[in-house]
Amino acid sequence: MLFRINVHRLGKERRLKARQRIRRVMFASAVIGFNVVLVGMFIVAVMIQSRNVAVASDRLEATERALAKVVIEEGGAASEEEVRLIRKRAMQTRWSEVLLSIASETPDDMWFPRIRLAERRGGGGSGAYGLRLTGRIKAGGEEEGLTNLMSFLGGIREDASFREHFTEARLVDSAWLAEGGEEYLEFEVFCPLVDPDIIVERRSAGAVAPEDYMTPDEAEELESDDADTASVIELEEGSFAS
Amino acid sequence: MRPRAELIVAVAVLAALLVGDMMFHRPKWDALASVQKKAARAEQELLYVASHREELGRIQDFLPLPLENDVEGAERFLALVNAEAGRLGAVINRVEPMGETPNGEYVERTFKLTLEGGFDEFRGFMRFLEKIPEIVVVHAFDYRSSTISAASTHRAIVTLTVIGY
Repeated sequence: MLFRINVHRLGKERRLKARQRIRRVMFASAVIGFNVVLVGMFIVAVMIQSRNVAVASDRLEATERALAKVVIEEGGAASEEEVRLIRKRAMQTRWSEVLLSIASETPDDMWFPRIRLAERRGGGGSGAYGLRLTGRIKAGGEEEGLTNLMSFLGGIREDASFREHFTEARLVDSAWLAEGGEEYLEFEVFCPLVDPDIIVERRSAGAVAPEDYMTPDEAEELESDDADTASVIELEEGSFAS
Repeated sequence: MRPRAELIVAVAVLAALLVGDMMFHRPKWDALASVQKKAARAEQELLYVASHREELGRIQDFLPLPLENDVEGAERFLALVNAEAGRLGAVINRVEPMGETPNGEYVERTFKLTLEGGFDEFRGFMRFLEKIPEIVVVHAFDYRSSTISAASTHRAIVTLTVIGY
């Protein structure tokens, strides 16, 4: 009787162990299968992306060749090098326009002791590349100074030429100081440059317009006679000097 | 509870996938976005050029002028900017050549120029650089103006590369 009970118990334990082993094998298979599927999906995704990059690069190369061909054959450019130069000229930042925008948005009693374009670090990094404006506002009170500063920031953010070249105009520092019996609000504004590749896109909102390909002579014709609003900066400075 | 080997493997595989994503997948994604953007722009340019063929005759107007009478490119550029600065009422009082790199049949010359002049003169000078036949790429500038003093001084240091003959 005792023997039969032990045999029965042994059989039960064996069945239990076998069931556990099967469960464990199934779990392991599921985990391994899941991992295999994940790794497979990753490899396929990387392969698809590589293929997409190759297809897009081919498309870019073919288009640039076609463009160069038209420009060389019909336009008299001597080489693809010259075509690249023409595109470079079209995409360059027009700093005179940016400076004019700053001047035209500068309210009375504000001037800039320093305007600096920070040099790009390394070859193509765009981290800290942008325009840094160090300015001062002469103001009777804090409220007036801040109002003028906000008005300036709002103005340049809305300015078409400014928006074409910069992603934003960010106030990074401001402090009150007193000099010669006058109170000033000193501030610093940082304007990060947009990717040079998209300047043309911003200029023309999706289509390359003729004005992006102005010749130097045409650019000169566009020079406005009344473009000397920039002098506001020095006039204000001069008036403080007196 | 005993840690199961398959769970450890699963976590390791997931970690490897995350690292792989950062190292391989994302850079490819960024590269694709950049190339697609450039391709789209090139297609727009081609479309524009193809539909404005009559304007292609002006192409030479966009390119640097050939040199004349054995004048060196750097010499011509510096003579030009000096003359323009004088016309604007400013002075270039320091020129620091920072190197020359051949670029096909052209040469890229980098200079650091120090210009003494007011804001209007500085802006006029930048305007001039935009319209000369050589292609000028401005890398950096630093315009400083002394404040609240009777003898105000204004100085700009401009680092630029000129592409020309």
